[in-house]
Parts: sequence; structure tokens; C-alpha cells
Amino acid sequence: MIAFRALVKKELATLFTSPLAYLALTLVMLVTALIFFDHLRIYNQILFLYASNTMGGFESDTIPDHINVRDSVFFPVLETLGITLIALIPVITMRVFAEERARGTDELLLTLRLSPTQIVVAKFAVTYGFVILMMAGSFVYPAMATVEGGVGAEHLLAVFVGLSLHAIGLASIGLVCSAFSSSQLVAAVASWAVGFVLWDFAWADAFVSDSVGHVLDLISMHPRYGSFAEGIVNVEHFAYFVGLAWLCGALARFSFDWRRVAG
Amino acid sequence: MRELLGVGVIAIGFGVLASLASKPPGWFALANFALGAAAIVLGALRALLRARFAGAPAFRRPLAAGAARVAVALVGAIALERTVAWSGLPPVDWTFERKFEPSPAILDTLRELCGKGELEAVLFADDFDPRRRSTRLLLQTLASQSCLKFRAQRLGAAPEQEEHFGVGTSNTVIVRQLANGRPERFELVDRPTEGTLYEAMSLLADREGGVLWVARGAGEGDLEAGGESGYSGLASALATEGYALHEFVSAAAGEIPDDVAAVLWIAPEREIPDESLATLDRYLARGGRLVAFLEPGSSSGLEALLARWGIEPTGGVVVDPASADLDGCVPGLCPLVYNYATSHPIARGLGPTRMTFFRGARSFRLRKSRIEDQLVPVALASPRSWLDPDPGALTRKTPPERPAGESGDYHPLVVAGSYSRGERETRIAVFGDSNIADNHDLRALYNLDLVMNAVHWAAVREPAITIRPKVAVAGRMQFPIPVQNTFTRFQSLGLLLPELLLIAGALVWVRTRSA
Repeated sequence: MIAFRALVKKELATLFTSPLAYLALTLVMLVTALIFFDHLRIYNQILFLYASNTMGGFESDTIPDHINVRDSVFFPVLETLGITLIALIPVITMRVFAEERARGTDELLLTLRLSPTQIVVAKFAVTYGFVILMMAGSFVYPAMATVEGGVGAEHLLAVFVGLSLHAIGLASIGLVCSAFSSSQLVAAVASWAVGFVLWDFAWADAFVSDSVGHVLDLISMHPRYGSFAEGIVNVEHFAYFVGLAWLCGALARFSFDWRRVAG
Repeated sequence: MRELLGVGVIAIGFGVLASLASKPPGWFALANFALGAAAIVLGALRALLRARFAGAPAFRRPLAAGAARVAVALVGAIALERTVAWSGLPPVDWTFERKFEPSPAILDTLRELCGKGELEAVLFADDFDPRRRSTRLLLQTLASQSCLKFRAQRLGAAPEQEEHFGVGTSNTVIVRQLANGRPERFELVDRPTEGTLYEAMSLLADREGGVLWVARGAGEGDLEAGGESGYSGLASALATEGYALHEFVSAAAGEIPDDVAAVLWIAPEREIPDESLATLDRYLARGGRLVAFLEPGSSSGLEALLARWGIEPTGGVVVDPASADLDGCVPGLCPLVYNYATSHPIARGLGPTRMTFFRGARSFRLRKSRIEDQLVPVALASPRSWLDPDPGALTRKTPPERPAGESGDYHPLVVAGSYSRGERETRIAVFGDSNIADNHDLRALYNLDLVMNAVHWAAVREPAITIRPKVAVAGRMQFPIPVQNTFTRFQSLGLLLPELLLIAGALVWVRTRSA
């Protein structure tokens, strides 16, 4: 347990003594703030245009249904951030295992009475913690704006939960890619590619049968976290991300066995 | 091996990109998918061969154990997700309008339809229709809580089906019932909301509520009038829930048959002939059912008849200081009711958060003429309410003044009486206002539920009593979030926090380099 705690501390220290962590945090917070503020500004402009006296005023029922906070602000913010995270999360996860491999310190870890499972758990836990911190930080401004506006704070929380789960799913994929590679660049590119492929299988609808399409839909990440944008928190989608994390943890653990044989 | 896997992943990634750009996917996408799949399969085969022949058995054993762990995790993850999905746990609704919490009415209707055969909902929508998401989620929510099978169909992909069902626009839902031994029945919903879906499903359920006799001839409310003061909305709601309507001129009707579900008497303005009242009295004495709406200040003769049944309408108008100037009403004259006798079937599901709105109402005094009679005040104005004896207060623009010494009391605005007079139980439900059922106010708050549940109770259809879907308050999500106010927040939180973090990162970088 002492070795495990030491490893967690070391992981945290590695993360926060690297400018990369701060850069990633800054980028996510800045991008979220800019996207949210921009959508809010456009939403308000359109709303006031429709609600202006020339269009009949606020009570005249002239505002189309789709001009609302959910469709004009929450959903596009979630969609854009979802895509952004596919590119950003691999930057955080690429070094976690690959750096140890490149430096040869992974062998050292195994000599510290740490089992491969403990190593995997420690690294996954620290990465998940960082990802959640990143998402929480990025939602400070949207939360304040929404609460001040008095519209749908709970709904925004659902959006945040969805994005956090999506980020955790991407981090799990990134960690597996990092575990199977000793090159950080390869790990980053591979996790970007896998994340992008798993993002949404809707493209496959055109040339697969309905049943295969349904299975692909179940594997896709986008339909899973997309419902959070609607304000729906579904336990089934939680289970999907928990399952994904479990599978990725097992694969990362398998990478230690694989290395012993494949080198 | 890694090279092959790398090539495979990249090729599939580009295949996906190309597929997104053109539908159906062109040769470039298909070639990339084929190349990617071949590279991954070859890479995996090479990896397996390498593992098979590499190393001593002592190395291969942990490898097999690791592979087994991965297999267990894969099966476990699928089992976990599917178990939760099939457990039918309802999703938690955090939307502003709570629009994905199905009402008891739609769930009851779904259960009823599920007992009759297969039920399917097909959503026809364009890929880029923003309304598609909400409709899909609503139908998925309903499907997760019933036997309803849901599928989405791209608009234009199945022209024969669209022609068969008459689908013309995106975001149209077809609700189909394939009942055993009966031809297919379906309803088209072109503006799908929980309310419109409920109405379509109610029509499919084909309920038999019986015939309601609607009195005419003494200036009663018109069930065919579509204006704000008309009652066409009530007629439509009654038809949706399985009632056939039969209008009768009270003075010329003769005896009211015993098999009538109930008699509906809406706001008579003129004197009802004595013979008509006697006919109604005889019908009630034989175990008849009556739902009456009385306007404050009116005197049609129905009041005296009801008084003989223990429900004595008071003169004047109820003034409830608890209700403010709602919807253009003079403060106090439009009671917002939140006190109900929830033990009575009519008020089932209503409560302090499910209010009803009366645009000027009279009250009732209840006096049993027989000990076994049951008279229940179903909906009451607040304990601060009082009676203004002058019904003309409704036409004035100033709030009535409370007389000295008037402390206020609960005043019943809707009452229900059940009586054992003959072989059948007589049931009477009386509203102290008729506007609650008119086109302007019927769908305000929980008015429709109170009115329809009163009709169901009077017609002895208690299982049909429910709380119906409410129209989402779309306008509330259309309030602006003030940008000017949040601009300060944007600068202080949206920009300052990232700036501080970046400074911290720069300091860490400089220190790391100098160390």
C-alpha cells in the first residue's frame, strides 16, 4: 500500500511539475469559456431579433421552438467540446505509460513490490482525477453564467456529467494506447484515431444491416453522452463508460504480460 | 506487427472521414475500410503467431491469464451495460421543463395498448432536423418503460412506407398497433410531444367511455365553438378519452335514458324549464350522473335542484387574496387552487404543486339530506378566502374590500356528491365556475385533469382517472441569459482563471528548465 501511495504521489508530481498539465487545463478552460460565451451571445442576438417589436414581441409566439438555451447553447457547446476532447485528451494520456517504457522505468516500478494491476490502477486513478479536475474547471464560468441567468442549472450539470464521462472514456482509450507503445507520439496518434473511430458509427449506417447498425450504435460514444446534452442522465450510459474503463484497465494490465513475451 | 496495426487504424480513420463527407460512401472510403481491416487482421495474426511461438511456457502462461482477464472484462462490461439497459431503470430528467418524465396518463395508455398487441413508434426525420433528438429521446424513454418498440427512419429512405402512412414532413411519428387478429391501425403525429403522442395513443386504445348527454336550450356553453369562450377543446378531450357526445335540448328531450354515461350541463344562462329540471331530477333519482358547471351569479333553476341534493350554491363570488393578478384578473377574483380532498378520486394526483385556475368562481354549502349521502368538497380556495355577496365584483376593475370581521375560510369551488337512492349510485360533480372548462383555460395548469377526472368519476370510470401530459413551457427555456451581466463573469472566470493557470504552467516550466 505504501508503494502504491508513493506511485500515486509520483504520478501527481509528474503531472503538475510538467507545463503540459497547465497548458491542457488552460486550453480546455479557455476553449470552453470562449465557445460558451460565443454561443450565448449568438443565442441572445437571435432571441432578441425574434422577440423584437417588428417580429411581434416576446409574447407573440413568433420565436421558433429551436431557439432555446438547450438547442442554441448547451448542445452545440457539448458537441464542440466533445470533438475538442478527442484531440486534447491524448496529449494528457500519451506520456503516462509510454514515457516509463521509453525511459525503462517501468521495470523499476515492478521491482518496488508493485503488481502490474496496482500500477495500472494508480495511473488510471490519477489520470481520471486530472480529467475530472479539467472538466470541473472548465465549467466554472458556464455554471456561473447559467445560475445568474436562472435557466437550467441542473441541465448544465447533466451536460458537465456527460462531458466528464466522455473525457474519462477517451482517457481510458488513451491510456491503453500509451500502455502498448513506448513512443508518446504513436500513443497520441493511436488514441486520437481510436477515439475518433469510436466517436460515432453513424457513418456506417449506409452499408450495414439494421442489426449491425444497432450494435455499432451501442458501441459508439456519441449517442451515449449526447443524451446528457438533452438533460437526461441515464444509468445505462454510466454503465457503458464504467464498462469501457474496466475493459481498458484490463487491456492496459495485459500490456505488461504482452511486453514480457513480445519485448 | 505494430506497423500493420498503425496502418490499419489510420486507414479506418480516413475511411470514416471519407464516409462522413459523402453518403453513400465512395470508393475511397470503401478501399480504406478494406485496407484498414486487412492490416488489422494481419497484424493481429502476426501478434498471435509471435505469442504462440515466443518464449517459454512460463512466459506464455501469464499471457494467457492476461488475455483471459481481458476477455472477462469484455464480457463483464457488456453484461453490466446490458443488465442496466434491460433493467428498465428510468432515466433521471434534469431538463428545465422535466419534459422526459412521462405522465401517469401516457404510461397507463401504453400499458393498455400493450395488453392488446404489439405497439411500435416510427420516427421519420431528416438527419439535420434539430427536433429529432428530443423526439427520439422521448420515444426511447417511453419504450424503456413499456412494450413500445421504437425505431428511427431517415426521411426519404423508405418512400413506400411514407406514402402508406402519409408522412410528409420531418419529425413525424407513426404509432402503430398490430393487434392479434385485427388489421394494422396507426395514428400519425406530425408535431410530436408527450401530449400529442398521448392523444394518438388514446385514439388507438379505442376506449368505450359511453355516451355523454350535453344539455342545450338554456344558453349553455357550446361544445362546437372554437373561440376562447367556446368549449370545443373540452369536446375534443372527451372524444380522445372515449366519450361519444350527444347534445339534447332539455325542454324537448323526454326522459333521459339510464344507460347514459353522464349528463353534462355547462353554464346555463337562462331559466331551465321546470319539466326539464323534473326530468333531470327523476334521472338522478334512478341513479343518474351529472357534471355541472355553474357561473357565479347565474340562476337557472339548476341551483335549486342541486340544493335539494345537498349541494347549495352560494350567491356572490369567492375572493381569494392568495391569488394575485393572474392573466389579467383583478387580484383575488381568480382563485389559484392548491387545496384538494386528495382522498377523493377526482383529486387523485393533484396537490399543492399541481394547481388549478378558476376565472371567477362561486362556492357551495354542503348539507346532507340523508346520513348515508357522501358530500365532499374536492377543490377549495385558500383559508384566507371570503365571499363577496355581489357577483358584479367580477366586472369591476378594483379588488373587492374584505368586510370588517371577515377572517376567511376554506371555500369549496368543486364538490362531489354520491347518493344511494335506487339500485345504482347517483353521482353529482359541480364546479363553481365554467371558465375552467372553456378553450381559454382548459389546458391551463391542471384544469384539464380536474375537469376530465370529474367526468370520469361521475361516469364511474375511475380507472381512467389520471394526470395528463402537460405542454412544456417552451418559453421558459427561451428567456435570455443576460450577456452583459455574464460578460463580467466571462472576464473574471472565463479568462482570468485560464490566465492564472497559464502563468503557473510557465513558472513550472521555467523552474524545471533552470533546475
